Amino acid sequence: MTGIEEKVIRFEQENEKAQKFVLGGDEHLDIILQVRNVVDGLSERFSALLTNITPDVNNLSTQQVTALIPSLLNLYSTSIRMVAILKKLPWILDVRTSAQKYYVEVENLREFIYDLENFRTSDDDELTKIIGHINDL
Amino acid sequence: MDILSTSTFREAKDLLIKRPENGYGSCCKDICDALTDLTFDDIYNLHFLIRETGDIRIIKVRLKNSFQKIGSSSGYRLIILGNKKYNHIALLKIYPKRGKYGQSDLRDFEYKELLKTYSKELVEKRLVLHNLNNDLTPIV
Repeated sequence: MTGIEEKVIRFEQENEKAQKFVLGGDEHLDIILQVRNVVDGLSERFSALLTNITPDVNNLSTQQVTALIPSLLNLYSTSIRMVAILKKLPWILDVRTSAQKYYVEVENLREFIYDLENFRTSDDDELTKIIGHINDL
Repeated sequence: MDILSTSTFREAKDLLIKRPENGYGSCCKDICDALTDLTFDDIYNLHFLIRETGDIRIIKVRLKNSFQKIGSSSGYRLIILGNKKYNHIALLKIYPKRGKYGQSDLRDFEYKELLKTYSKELVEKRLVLHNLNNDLTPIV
């Protein structure tokens, strides 16, 4: 397992732990404040994770990127579950801003995976040919 | 290192800044803030690599939108091309993630179009040089 995968899996576990906490919460003010703090913290670390792994991912080979994608997809799946949990909270309005910040980070992860799958691991001959032509200019 | 742009980039940028009420008025400043004083390697290490072949690197830069006080996660996406042989960075496209002109991704055919335009304008010497210290003003 690579260092990048370890970081992704560690964050996925943190994400799952936070889900259990949010699911167990009720509509008491102290619980709402705690949920807000947990989700805000999670969003910050989500953003930091993507920023942090980007330089390492830039240096991976096509095969290494292909091997990393399943871990990222697992994290995405866990994150989407968290989005569903947040959206179903009867007191979603009380944590709306925090939930929106979290959605933004999940969308960033989706974009990250989309770019890896479509541009770093795909064998698009035409794209390679165009860049090859530019190299010759 | 020179900062150049294609006509596609300039059209996208002009559309964004045309109406300040759309909330994209700071895009030139935000680009300058993100790229000023960076080397090729800094840009490569800080931002997402889309594709690299030979001397060419296509990079996606996540930018804040300071006008709307939005961080880089949901601000702009700037697609640039680093050409080591010519020692320049070419701005190929900018799009916001949110708002009237919000877009989620660029498709592969869009990247191909951006690269073909760059290639054509490089040959025809139609790439425009910009001043990063002055809100991306073209240098004539």
